[in-house]
Amino acid sequence: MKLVQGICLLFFSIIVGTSFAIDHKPYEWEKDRTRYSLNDGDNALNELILKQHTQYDYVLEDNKFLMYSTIHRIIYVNNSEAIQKHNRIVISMNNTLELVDLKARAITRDGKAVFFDQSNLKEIKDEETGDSFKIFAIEGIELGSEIEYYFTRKMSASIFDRVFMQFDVPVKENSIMLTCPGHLKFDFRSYYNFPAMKEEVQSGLNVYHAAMQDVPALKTESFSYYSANRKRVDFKLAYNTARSETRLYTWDEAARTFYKILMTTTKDDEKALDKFVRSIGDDPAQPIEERIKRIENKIKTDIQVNKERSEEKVTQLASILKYKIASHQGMTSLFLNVFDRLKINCQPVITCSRENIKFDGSFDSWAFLDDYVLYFPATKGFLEPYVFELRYPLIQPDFTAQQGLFIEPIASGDTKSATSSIGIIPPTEYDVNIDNLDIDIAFNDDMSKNLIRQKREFGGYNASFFTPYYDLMSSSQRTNMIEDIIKQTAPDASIKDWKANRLTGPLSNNFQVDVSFQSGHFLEKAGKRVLFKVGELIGRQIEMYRDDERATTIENEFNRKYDRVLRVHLPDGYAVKNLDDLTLRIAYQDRDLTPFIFKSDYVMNGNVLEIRIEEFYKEIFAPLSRYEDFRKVVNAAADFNKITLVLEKEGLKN
Amino acid sequence: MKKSLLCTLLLIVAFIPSAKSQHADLYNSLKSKFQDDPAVFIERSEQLSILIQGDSLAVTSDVSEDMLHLKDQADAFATGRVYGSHFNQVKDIKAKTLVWEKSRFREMNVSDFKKNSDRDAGIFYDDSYYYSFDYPSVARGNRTQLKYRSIVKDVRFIPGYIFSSYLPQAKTTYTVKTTKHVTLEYRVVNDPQQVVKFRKFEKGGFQYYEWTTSDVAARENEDSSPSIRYYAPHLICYVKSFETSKGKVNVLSGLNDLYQWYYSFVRDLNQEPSTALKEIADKIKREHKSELDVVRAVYYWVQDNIQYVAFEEGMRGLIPHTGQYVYGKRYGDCKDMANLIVALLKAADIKAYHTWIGTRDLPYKYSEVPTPLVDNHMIATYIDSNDQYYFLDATSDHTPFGLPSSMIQGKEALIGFDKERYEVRIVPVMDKEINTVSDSISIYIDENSSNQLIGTGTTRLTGYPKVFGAYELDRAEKDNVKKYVTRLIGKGSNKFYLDKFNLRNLDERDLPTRIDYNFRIGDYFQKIGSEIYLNLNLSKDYYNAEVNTSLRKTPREEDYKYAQDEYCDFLIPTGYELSYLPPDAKFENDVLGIHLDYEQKGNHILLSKKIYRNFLLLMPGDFERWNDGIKQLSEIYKESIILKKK
Repeated sequence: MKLVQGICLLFFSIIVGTSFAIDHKPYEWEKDRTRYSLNDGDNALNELILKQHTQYDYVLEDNKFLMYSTIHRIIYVNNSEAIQKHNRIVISMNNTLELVDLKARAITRDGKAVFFDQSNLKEIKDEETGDSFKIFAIEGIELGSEIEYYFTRKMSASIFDRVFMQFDVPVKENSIMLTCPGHLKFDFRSYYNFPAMKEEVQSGLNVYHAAMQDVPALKTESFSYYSANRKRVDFKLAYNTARSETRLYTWDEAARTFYKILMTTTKDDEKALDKFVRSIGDDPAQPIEERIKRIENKIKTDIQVNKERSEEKVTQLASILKYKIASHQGMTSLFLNVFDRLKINCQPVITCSRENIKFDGSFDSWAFLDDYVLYFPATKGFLEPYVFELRYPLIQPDFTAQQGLFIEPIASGDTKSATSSIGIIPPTEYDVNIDNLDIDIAFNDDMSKNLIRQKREFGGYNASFFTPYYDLMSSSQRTNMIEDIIKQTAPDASIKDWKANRLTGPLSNNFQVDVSFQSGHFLEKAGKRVLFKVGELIGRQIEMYRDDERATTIENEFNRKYDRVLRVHLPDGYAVKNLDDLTLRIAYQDRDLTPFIFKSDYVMNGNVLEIRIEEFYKEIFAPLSRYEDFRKVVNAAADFNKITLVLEKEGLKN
Repeated sequence: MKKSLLCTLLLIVAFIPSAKSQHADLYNSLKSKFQDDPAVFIERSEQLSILIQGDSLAVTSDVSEDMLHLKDQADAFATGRVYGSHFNQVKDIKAKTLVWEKSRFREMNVSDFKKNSDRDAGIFYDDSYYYSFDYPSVARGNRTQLKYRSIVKDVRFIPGYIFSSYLPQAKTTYTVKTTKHVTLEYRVVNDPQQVVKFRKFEKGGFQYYEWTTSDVAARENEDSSPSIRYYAPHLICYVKSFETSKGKVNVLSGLNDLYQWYYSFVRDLNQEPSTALKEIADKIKREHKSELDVVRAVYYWVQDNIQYVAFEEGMRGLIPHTGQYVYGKRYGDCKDMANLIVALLKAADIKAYHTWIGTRDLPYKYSEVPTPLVDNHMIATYIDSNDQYYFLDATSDHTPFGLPSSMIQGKEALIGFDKERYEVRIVPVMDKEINTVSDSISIYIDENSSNQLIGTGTTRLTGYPKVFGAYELDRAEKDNVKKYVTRLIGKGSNKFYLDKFNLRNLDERDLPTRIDYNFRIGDYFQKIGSEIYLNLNLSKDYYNAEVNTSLRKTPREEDYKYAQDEYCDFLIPTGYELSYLPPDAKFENDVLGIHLDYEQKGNHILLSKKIYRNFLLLMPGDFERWNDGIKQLSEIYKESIILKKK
């Protein structure tokens, strides 16, 4: 929402100038009311939202386009955690001119109401983020109380917004209403089966409303994002019929608006930019990907990012290059202008995190426009302008497998403008995000310890936890990091020596560790036999429990691949009794494709038992109906963890 | 004459090293001393002025920092923060970067300081704040400098000084500037190597007390460490008294001064109980016979009915609200709840006392440091007719009557009786036998599925495990409760399935919490040919929980002393007999104890296991003794029983 917030002020003029002015009718609650009568099932719940109502009343006041935003909630709380969760109210005052009304009460089981004392309302301000809040605690709550509050804020009008209609608590009745002067028309989109908004005209106002009874709670599920799956309503101002029938705030307009913001420079900016571009040492004869990486490295090393601020100092290029501090928008602008100077075709793309919201290109609400990434048509690669850890061609995984607004510059004479298209930002391929193991395992003489050499290579997102930080770490931090990595596999590891480095060449973001250590963790005794817990050598894997009520589709953070080779150097005279346990194959088939698989197999080469494991996840999404098949693949790795080989001295008789 | 002057000048210039070589020398010398570190404080200093103004003391503190950046991408140090609060007002912040350009430094000033509320997770509203700002052009070889002044509102709140930081420091200076009319008490603690040097001198009619260190390495953060005040060298410093024209004024000359000040915060509370409080007190009195039962019931009433919501605002950070106010609001912070207990008991004609105390984060004692540094918490104390002390901390919802909250064990409590009388008494550390988890299971091999164990079990929690567990077991969402139970009793492997469970006595604070459960574990044992290998150590608590003595420097802290007791009864499947039973084991010292006993009884194998942990702080000197036990335990855990077909 940050991107849009910065530009909202531009829009007043097109609304103002019409003659409608209808006084806003203040929202009110029922002054004296009895408690809800609940059935036994609801009564036994620990928490239940009885009423949730959201209302936006758009008005023209003193030639200003404003809105009154009201939230009204009634919550039944019947346990101490539920009280603690709902007794503290925080009201965001961002974009708010005035808190017009606030009332709160707690109604106890015996019907006694305790009203909130306004003198206990406190204010919190953060100049850094520009955020401010009013906070208070609901008074007089007992077990079984109904907490009720509503507040109305007079705010600058939102041209686009989003209201979540589902929570982690069930809701008896959830409703939303929007009113506006008759010449304005809003468009709505309801998601995840929340009812569509109905439209009516009431005394010159357009009134839109929708409600749903018994909205179930949404739970957090693994391989799924909570927020992105909540029922919600998105809306935007679509027409001002007093002016024209043209649709407002289209994607094309967004493209033009943001492109202008990013590319507008002053003479000082140009001068500073020239100087900076010279300092990069770009060589146009180099392959384009090398040039991109060099420029990215220079900018991300020199410039610090302040993600909170948005004032001129951190958005104007001359000032950015002087103080070496930039906002998100400032970083994007700097990258684009540098690439422009160096004649590297680069286009801004605006998207949002798939963790929060799935970008819906079919609904042109600018509320989807949260973050910038950069796209290079020549390489089809992406660059994330303000995250230090991620380097071309990696961008935050939650910005991939997601639609975005692609902005394509068009030049006509000296004026720069842009057109738009909605496209998909593709996820990285599974074989980029590797976490590979190559392990040699030997045994000491009395079969109490293993001598292990483990080579592990991280690639793509898996490497981004290490590669960018490694040079900055102190030697004790590095030692601790290696300890942490090895102890994930062998908690008792005693490390003999280790090496760690980032690879060079085309895989230069990859990170490799090579560690020799000794451990007794994998060996257990059973009388004269040795139990060798070979399955644990791949590190503890997650087990996904069966969840019959799973509600959301399967979603992976990123595609990935694990190649593992274990070479077990069996001691002389020992044989393995249950080698066949090592063969596993669990595959998720989608017609003739295999998007997800875990398989393991082995060969014996003399006294070396070589085990090969292949595991990959090639798709981000899988349907809810295939949850069980997906779960089996994930659990296959946990099943492999349980494999214990029984080693027996040849000729041994019990 | 002229000539010689010129000569002298030339001479001087020749001897002054150029700015360039000076900078290079400083950089190289610090880089070689602190090779690994991203930055170093060239100097960190603070001067505290305590000056007599009229008949009181004016206290200001001037802080200055000069940091040299030693690595590229100094991102983490580009942001500056200066913290303040009602009692410690920040003024005159100046910050700048010295950008090294070829042969000289160019200064770039910070102009934008943003004021922000400093919110603490546990406190709902807090008047403390911080200014945030960005240093421009932070890069290797550049310096960032910060100066500001703090106005310390009350001389009793002098914080002392910690001589270590998140970065190394080439030089640190802490100075107190005052006059001979001010009597200062000071002490450096945790400094066996005497890295802190002290001198006292007079200059311009002022007395200076100065503490310095040089080349102090960066502080390392380790898991489960106690607060740094337990081990970092630091200065404790406070004003005992000062002389004015009217005579001597005591500030913190002894505990009595501190108490008198504290007493003034509670003196006027609870004069006459309100009708509402009286009604509650009367009702509780009617329902309970003995005085002790009334006290217990009042304590539980406050626990159950008052929610913890803290507002920290000026003197309100020190002065409780009246009982009536908190009763009406149904929420409050620690002192509000403590005072409500005192007020309700007073309404029931029972005496209880406001009690100041520090949580275990603070290592100080009233007897040694009679200042507000010692405490950060308030509880109520009741003393019965047998002189038994009950420390009542209602902020912890589930703590049974008679158990102090775990965070105040071993700490000195300052119990206020009346205007004149008070007592310092140590809150006892609860014995390990009070804090127990016992788990008893019966298991057998599923005859229908060749690789599954089936079992039933009972877990009982007492003492702090009960208290800590209660927060998780009392969750609003049932799924979260099940997740916690699985975590608490899960055993064998991650193929543990909790089929059902039943929770008892969760709300009975005086009884053990009991969980009865049924479970299955897949793929836990090996069946090879005619043999079955099964490790009866389904839980492997403390497995390989050794302290890495080559890396760890700080003590390890636990919330409480603790004993656990496990019992496993395994039914030998029909057609099999026992062919190998692992040996018993025993290990005991004053930090750790382990007992393992295997036994065959008919067609049952029984494993009984007891482990205790007998410390709150495991000091570096104890690490080896802890490790000895853990090594043995980890070995014992590797033993399986073997069953053989008959």
